[in-house]
Amino acid sequence: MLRRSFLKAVIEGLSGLVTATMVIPGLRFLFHTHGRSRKQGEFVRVATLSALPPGEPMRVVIHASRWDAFIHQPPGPIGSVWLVRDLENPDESEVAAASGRKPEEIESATPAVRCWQTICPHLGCGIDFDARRGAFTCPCHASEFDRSGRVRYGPSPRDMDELACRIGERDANGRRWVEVRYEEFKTGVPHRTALA
Amino acid sequence: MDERSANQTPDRSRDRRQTADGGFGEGSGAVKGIPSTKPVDSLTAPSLAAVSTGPGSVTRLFLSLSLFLFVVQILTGVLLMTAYSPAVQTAWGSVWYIQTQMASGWFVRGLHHFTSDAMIVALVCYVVLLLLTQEYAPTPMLRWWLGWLSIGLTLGAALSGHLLPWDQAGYWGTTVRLNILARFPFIGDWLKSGLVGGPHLGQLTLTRFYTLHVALIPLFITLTLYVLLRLAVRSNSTMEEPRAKDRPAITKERWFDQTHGEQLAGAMAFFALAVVVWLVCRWRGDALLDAPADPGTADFPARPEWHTLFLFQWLKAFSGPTAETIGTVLIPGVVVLLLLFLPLFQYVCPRTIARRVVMGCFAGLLLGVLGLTGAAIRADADPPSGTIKIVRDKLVSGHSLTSQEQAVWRAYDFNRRLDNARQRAARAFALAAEHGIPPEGPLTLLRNDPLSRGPQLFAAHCAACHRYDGHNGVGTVPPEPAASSDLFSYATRAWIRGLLSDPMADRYFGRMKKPDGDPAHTRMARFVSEQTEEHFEGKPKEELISAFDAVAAYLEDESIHPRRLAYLGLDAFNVEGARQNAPSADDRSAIIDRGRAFFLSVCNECHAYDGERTGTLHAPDMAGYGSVEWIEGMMHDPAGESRYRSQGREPALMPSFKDRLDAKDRRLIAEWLHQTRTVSP
Repeated sequence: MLRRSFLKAVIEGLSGLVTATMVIPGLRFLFHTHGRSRKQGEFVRVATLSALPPGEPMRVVIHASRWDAFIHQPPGPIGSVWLVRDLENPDESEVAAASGRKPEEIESATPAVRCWQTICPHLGCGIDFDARRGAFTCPCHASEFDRSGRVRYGPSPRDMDELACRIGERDANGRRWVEVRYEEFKTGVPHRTALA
Repeated sequence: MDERSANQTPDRSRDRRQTADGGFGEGSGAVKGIPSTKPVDSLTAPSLAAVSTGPGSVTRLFLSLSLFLFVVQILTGVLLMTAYSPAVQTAWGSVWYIQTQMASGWFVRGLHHFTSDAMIVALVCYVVLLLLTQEYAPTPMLRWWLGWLSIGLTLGAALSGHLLPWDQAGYWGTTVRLNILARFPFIGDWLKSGLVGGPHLGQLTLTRFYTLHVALIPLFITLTLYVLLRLAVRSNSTMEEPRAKDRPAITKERWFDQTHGEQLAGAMAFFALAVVVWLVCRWRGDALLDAPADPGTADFPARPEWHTLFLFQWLKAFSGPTAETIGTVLIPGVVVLLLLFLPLFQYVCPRTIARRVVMGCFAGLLLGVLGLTGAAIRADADPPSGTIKIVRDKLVSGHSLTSQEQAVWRAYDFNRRLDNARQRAARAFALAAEHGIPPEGPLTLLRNDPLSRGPQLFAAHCAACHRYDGHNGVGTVPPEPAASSDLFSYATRAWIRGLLSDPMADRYFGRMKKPDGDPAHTRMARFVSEQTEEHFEGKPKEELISAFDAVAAYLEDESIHPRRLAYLGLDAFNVEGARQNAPSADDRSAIIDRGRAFFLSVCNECHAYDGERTGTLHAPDMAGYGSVEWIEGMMHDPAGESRYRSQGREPALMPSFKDRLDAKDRRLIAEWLHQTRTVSP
């Protein structure tokens, strides 16, 4: 009796092991992309400084190449950003040059250009700018943000996501380009976390 | 295997008997009933429990094993479907991604691949056991036919799945199979057209095969296996005799009953498969995926999978249209009919003779299949190098080959193509990992890769005269002799040094024609011999040797950094000082400087540098020698001013390729020759 039930138990155990050997790799396979963080993107030129009217937000589409699983897409539209050129200090490098310091050293000065994601932190719709009211608005659930991206009212859990942005050196034609490092963030949470 | 209690029970008006251990029943013995601890379910609700409480049956074991393996196929198949993409540009990439990038992807795909083979084996065992045990009750032939139908469907699933990665093996194998299918009389062309969905294998073929593989064939396999299982239960319950009411119940429990036996068999098969998958993927990771399908290649060595190799070998014996129809359609048709109606022999002949005839036929077929498979494997084996040499010498000397020697040469050629195909696959994997797959598909990756495309172009266009390490770039040594230099390690220090020692060696100019009119290569030979004599008189020979070493080092540098020293004139080099103070071997830049000095003082008389030469005789311009641009220039205009300017008296020995190859292809050849060198450190 003992031998029979022991053998039966062993065989049942083996069947369990078979199931596990199928289920565990299967789950790993299904959730392969979860938790894999993309490496941080590069700075991409988006617009010339002179193209930005001071004080007025302008929406610019970002063009870059992207990996889609195994497909390496050539440069194409991957998202868009809102750019605002500061009204008071439209060109921080001139300010810095005048005072004999580098732009990064000027702590108190507002950066000459600021940049925000157009993706609403609430549920991911595209944020518009309402010039009449002077505020960023989201058409889906009516979140409203002020000119600095701070949330005024609406269901958005946090402010508009600001992106790293800098003004590059003069190029061969003497133009200065605004460069943005494009990123996406998780929606619906109060703290900004990078999208993995 | 089972404990049995010989419980005599009355017969149940059935003619066919089966002994409990599945032996070949004869006469009208009583069925040995087994006291079951569970009641048999009704006929309309079959369950594995009902199947397994019956007489222990190895036949049923194989049926349930096939079912289990089918379930494994469905599970792994569904998982693969979440990542696979059935489009011509993305199919290969998605399978590459599954195989190499996804977590446990290699395991899921490997399991899917090998379980299909295992399922075919299990079903064949099942069918063979059906024959051996004559388990046809209640209907004589249905289970036999359904068994063979399930084998055919599983083979169909395997063959349709073979095309899905859209790799070389799948593409060319399917091309051949569809062309064989087209030979079927009347319906052949319709069959092929329905499967291909157009004039060539393409997008529609892929989607149709995908539908077959994922939806239609699994549906029919499920139905077939379900019916087989129902029939197994029904036959089982007719053999199970219910206890007569007046007999006491005997409740001896078996220590190894059907359910657990089947579970154990399934578990053992599964773990064996898992081990095979692990071994194959560790040992040869590219075994399950080839290079992307390329309709432009004509040299892929296509072979069927192991289970249809016997057909491939069989068809070799039939050549010519009528013979091929006989070999493809007639004889296989007869064999299939024979196979399908084999069990009917027992109705026709007396029992004992029928048994021998049936067993004999089946054993004969099996031996034939095994023999043909073995012959196919032997015919493709790589012949030993001694034999290859004998055959090649015979070819080169112009003798005709015996059929055995032809077979040796074919096997040699096949294996070189196989090596080449494997290299291409490995290169495709490396390029995909580095660059990803472009949206146009993986072929652009390989077509723009010098290391893959270069050898092919070289073999097609250059190997008529040149050689690459003795072969034509893709590994085959052409039977015709070379007519120009061997470009392996072209413009490396060793190559140049060898040329400076002996320009008329076979590796350099020795194989070239020597027309009248003092062509450039014979002049170079004369220069080298004169130099040797000139310097030999009164000056140490070591000096000339070290001067030639320096020139070789300088020219190699020129190939890596074209015109790096161009701005320096001759007076910038302390030529005399360099001659007296031989620099140490470690002083690499000093050797290069000295080489440049020697070039400017001696070689520059004939060899121009950026158009400037000190003498009057003409030799190729050495500015940027051996660089990609220089090699491209050689292909573009070998008889031009900056190369071997033909005097107008004799034709240029190398034709111009500016019209035969477009600029992209010339660049690919040049990049390949340049990149595959091993330059000195």
